[in-house]
Amino acid sequence: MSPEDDLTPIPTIIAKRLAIAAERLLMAWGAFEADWQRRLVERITAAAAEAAAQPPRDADRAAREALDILLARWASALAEDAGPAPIDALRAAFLAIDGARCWPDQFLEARPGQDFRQDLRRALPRPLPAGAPLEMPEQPL
Amino acid sequence: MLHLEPKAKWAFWRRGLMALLVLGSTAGATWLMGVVLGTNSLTFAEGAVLTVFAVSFGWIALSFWAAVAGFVLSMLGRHPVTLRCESAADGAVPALRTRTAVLMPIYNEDTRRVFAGLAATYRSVEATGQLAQFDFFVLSDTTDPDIWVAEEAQWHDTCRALGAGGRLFYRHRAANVGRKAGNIAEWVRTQGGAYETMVVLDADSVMEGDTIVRLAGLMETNPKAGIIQTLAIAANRTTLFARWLQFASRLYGPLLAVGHSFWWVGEGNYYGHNAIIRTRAFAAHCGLPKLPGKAPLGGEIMSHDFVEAACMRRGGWHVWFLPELRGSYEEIPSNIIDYAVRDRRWAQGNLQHARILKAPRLHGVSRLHMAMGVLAFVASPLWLLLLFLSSYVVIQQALAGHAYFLPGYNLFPIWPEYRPLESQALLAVTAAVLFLPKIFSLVLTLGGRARRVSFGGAGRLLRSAVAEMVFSLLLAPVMMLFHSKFVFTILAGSSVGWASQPRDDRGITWLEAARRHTVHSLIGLAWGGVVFWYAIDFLWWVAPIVLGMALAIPLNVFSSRTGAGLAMQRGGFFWTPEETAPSPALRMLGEELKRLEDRSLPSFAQVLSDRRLAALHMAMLPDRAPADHALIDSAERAAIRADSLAPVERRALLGSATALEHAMRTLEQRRLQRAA
Repeated sequence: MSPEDDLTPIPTIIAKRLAIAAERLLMAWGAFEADWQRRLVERITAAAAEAAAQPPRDADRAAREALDILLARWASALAEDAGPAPIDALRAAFLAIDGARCWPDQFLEARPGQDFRQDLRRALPRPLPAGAPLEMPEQPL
Repeated sequence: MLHLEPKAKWAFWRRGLMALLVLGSTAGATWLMGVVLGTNSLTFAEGAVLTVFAVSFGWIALSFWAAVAGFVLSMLGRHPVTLRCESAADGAVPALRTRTAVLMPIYNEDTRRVFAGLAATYRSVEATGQLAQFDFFVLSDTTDPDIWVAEEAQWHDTCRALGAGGRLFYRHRAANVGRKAGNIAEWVRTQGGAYETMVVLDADSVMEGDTIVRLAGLMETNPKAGIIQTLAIAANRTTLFARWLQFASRLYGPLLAVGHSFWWVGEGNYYGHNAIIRTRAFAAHCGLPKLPGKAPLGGEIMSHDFVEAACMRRGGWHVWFLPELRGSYEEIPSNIIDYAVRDRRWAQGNLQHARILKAPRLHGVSRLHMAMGVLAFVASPLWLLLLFLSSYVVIQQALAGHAYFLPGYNLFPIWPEYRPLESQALLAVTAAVLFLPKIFSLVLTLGGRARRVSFGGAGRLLRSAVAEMVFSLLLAPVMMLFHSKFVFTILAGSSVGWASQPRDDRGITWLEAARRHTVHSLIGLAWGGVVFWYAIDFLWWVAPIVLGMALAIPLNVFSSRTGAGLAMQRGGFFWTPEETAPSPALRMLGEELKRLEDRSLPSFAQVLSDRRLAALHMAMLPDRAPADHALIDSAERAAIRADSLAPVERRALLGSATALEHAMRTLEQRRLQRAA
């Protein structure tokens, strides 16, 4: 976990709601062990606290937006020459390599390790290459 | 690398020679037939027999002379195009400069087989050291939601297993507009600009990397080549029917292919797969329109390959057929019924070509390819007509007896005349045209030790050839009836859908065989009975035909059995080089299939419950548009019971990321509610 994401104290009621929302969001990335799950929830909760405290106090949305930001940062950290991979593709790859069990420490990590990057890259579903269109007019028959 | 373009000399003279031989032999045989039939003047029925005979004989004479050309060139060791002692398969594989895409269009296929074949081809290309010049595309038009999900999962597994991420791509098309041709065209329109050439595979194709690299090298060396077609060898099936067909095509096919390549020269044909195509030329000249009118003869062009070859040639690009390039494989239907079903589709496509024959500026040989495609199926009703008419003439003569006097005053009687010499000559000529090509192939194979051993040795080869001939004789009448029915139903306006071809070893039950062949058997028995009753002397002539028809049901059931195929293999029948010494790609295919054999494939319902599958599917979906009411409704029903959705609803749901997310959210809520 990176030092920039220090946990910030927030009101308990908001923290609880955020924690529930964060847990639900994290499920989409696999079943983390309880300890890792707690740490990740705390991290998302901390990142979302400020937004969640603002009206209309939508904890779900705040948690989602916070996680999106963390994920975008993570995707940038994992980016190759072609730029960051789409989050959906990263999620598919992370689930395929059972990242929640095998690489929990690498999830949302600012400086992912080389082994993890390699494992993830191998499982990354690549979209089609950049389009290279050709005109194909209909022929008279 | 082989330089084809400046060396394809004398195309005009080669074709002139072929035309002379075909027309000359047809004229001679027709004259003989005329003499035999018209000894006592020609009746109307006899005239009809003569006409049909001329057309049918011309058709088989073309194959015969192609086989002769193939035999002579093979004996001399000459290349069919350059006429020199060289081959595209010789020498080291070239170092490629250009990029090639390997395309595999699929449609509701056996997922394991598709990816096993692709993995084998990929590994084989990798082994050449030139993988960097290739990208692989699985172009799915699959409509079955379960197969769609399985394809994605298997593609992902294959990418991981091969380390092929960023080189092996999967694309699913929501609507299969234009069928296979439309599938390829869509890829050309969106991705084609990045690749100089594309190798098109079929769902059951496997190709050696060496062959693919050589094809790409040939395209670099011959800049006016638009298409280079390889001779795809049938392999890998184990039913008796398939092993028989594999043996026949392996033994006799290459000789014919060399002969055809000799006179086609740069105006060859394209068979839709196992060929390399220049992408820009294809885009510029091979966009196929819909034919005016409705199916079966209008609408989307089904046998697009012939038309694409003709269009490519019209655009000034050459189309070559190089049968010497080995390492190009396909699989064939495993039983008579599946084979006939495939032919039904081809028949419709080929008959459509009759409407394209007059298309502007097509090369004469391209028109001939299409005319031959039409005749490939029309020949069957012609043969049937010929046989019926011949039986009718014989029975009529037997019933009416000979007319010694014509109506009116006759000074002398007309004595019956027989021409035994001409009859025997006609029989000999026909038998030669039908069987000599097979004997040429046998001679060639027996003459080379390596070739002979690859078919299991002289003994096995000879007894297999005899068994093949018997099997061919029995099967030909059944296929004639099938093809005749296809032609009539198509001309009557009946169209066929686009079902995927069964690609496994499928055994036929007695019930299914009876359903398909009862009419054939009845025709055979009735025909044989009438001839037996009225003209018993003629029975021997029609015996092979009526016997094949009468035995259609047991023949189909027996020949569809894997057990029968393997028993014949143990008995030393129908061995092929692909069985005795499989090439590396075929061995890799076998290994891949074994690896995947026990692996279960996911289905639609699992996408909703398995987050790994769901994530993969979502990552592949381009459609992020909001879901409409009907889709949301489907999503909610799917969350309650996935199997309550109709296939079309499942497919729509799989196609919409928003609706799928809704379904998964609903499912999760239900789970939480239950837990609470």
